[in-house]
Amino acid sequence: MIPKPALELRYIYKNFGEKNIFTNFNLNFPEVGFATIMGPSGYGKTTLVNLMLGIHKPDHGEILGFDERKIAVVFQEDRLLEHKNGLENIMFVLRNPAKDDEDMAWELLTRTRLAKDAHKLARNYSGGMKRRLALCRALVTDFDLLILDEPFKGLDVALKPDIMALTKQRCEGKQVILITHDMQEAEYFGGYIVDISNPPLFFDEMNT
Amino acid sequence: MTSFTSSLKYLLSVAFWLVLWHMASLAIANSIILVSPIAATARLLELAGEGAFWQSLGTSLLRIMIGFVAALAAGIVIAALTSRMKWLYTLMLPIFNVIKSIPVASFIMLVLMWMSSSNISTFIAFVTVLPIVYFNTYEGTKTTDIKLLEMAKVFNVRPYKILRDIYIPAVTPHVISAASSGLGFAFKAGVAAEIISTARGTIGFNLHTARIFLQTEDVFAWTIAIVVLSYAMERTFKLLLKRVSNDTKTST
Repeated sequence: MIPKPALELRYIYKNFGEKNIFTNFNLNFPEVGFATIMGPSGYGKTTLVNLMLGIHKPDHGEILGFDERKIAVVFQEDRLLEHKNGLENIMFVLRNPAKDDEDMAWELLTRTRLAKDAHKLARNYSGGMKRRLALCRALVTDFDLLILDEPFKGLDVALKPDIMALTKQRCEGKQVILITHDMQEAEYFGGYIVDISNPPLFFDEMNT
Repeated sequence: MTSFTSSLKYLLSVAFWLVLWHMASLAIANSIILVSPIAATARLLELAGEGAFWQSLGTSLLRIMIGFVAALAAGIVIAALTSRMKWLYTLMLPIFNVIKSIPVASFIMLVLMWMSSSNISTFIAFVTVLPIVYFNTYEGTKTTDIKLLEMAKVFNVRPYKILRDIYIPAVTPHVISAASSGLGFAFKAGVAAEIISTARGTIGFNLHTARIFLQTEDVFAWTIAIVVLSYAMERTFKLLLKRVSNDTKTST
């Protein structure tokens, strides 16, 4: 198998109007496993996600390797089709849904305790249910890279360990970028952890 | 307020204006200037017994509806294209602004020189409804949730799913609103075109003839027929569009 090019952000500059977000920002990622980005609010974690996804373009600099991968994402907002039911929201992102995919969708719904609400419209879900559904939608795909922007925020404390275990299991052997405020989450998934407020950020030169 | 009480209030308002109309006709006491609602309804029922009445109604309805449906389809397609292509929007904007501003009568006069009178109501209904549908649908495309589009792009979702599950649900309320008001305009403009062009065997032609022969009862009877027809078509079309949009929402 031909190895995919490295995931890397080089010499990134990004401003929104007068507000500077990144100045000569550099970041690269390990080829496999979890890379967790932490840091206080206002340091551009979500802007970073948007840059990696190609939603925002940097003013200067290069973003390498992301467009070579099949990406799945859990955005900070759920971004669900509110007029569709839970199962339909999951199936929406599958290009050629086969029986196996639907089985996987049901397995994810079951493991996130959403199976009995699978035919309810997403607009009638609670905040926590929407978060779980957004996670199911990402985990059902055959991704190379999963980007998780605070995916466990607002989850029921009793459910959180199972949901985190499911995420870890589905991400085995894949590249994952996790954005979180929660050190316990970062430690649970292992891998590399960086603080965005303390550059330079080179995951591949760090130890776990 | 329940729908029953609001319907009752509406019916009472209608009754109030009918009574006022009747009293005005009694006060004027000249059936050439103003006929009573009873006389107008009686004449309408009399006309409804004639085959020519239904033939005229059918001819006008068909021609106007062809123009309306064509405008609906063209308006939606052009709005979809211009929402994706900024240069096309800029190119089309003056055309739609001009069409919107030209008085219907001017259009009719112009078109009379280009085509036969039998096609005029179709064309006039088309140009009257087109800008209404276009501007409403274009606004609808602007209200499409950009965050959902970004999500679909990241997941590399198939374009037909993006259209079906993101664009259509966002645009449908705007299309329904445009179709609803556009249909009324289509009838008004279409019948006006028939009157001016004296297109034979149409509602407009019958109105034109009734006016020439000072048959005020006929003018009122045909006008009532237009109002009823326009209202019935508007309700039918709204139901149809709601059905289509619900089917789109529930399909996977």
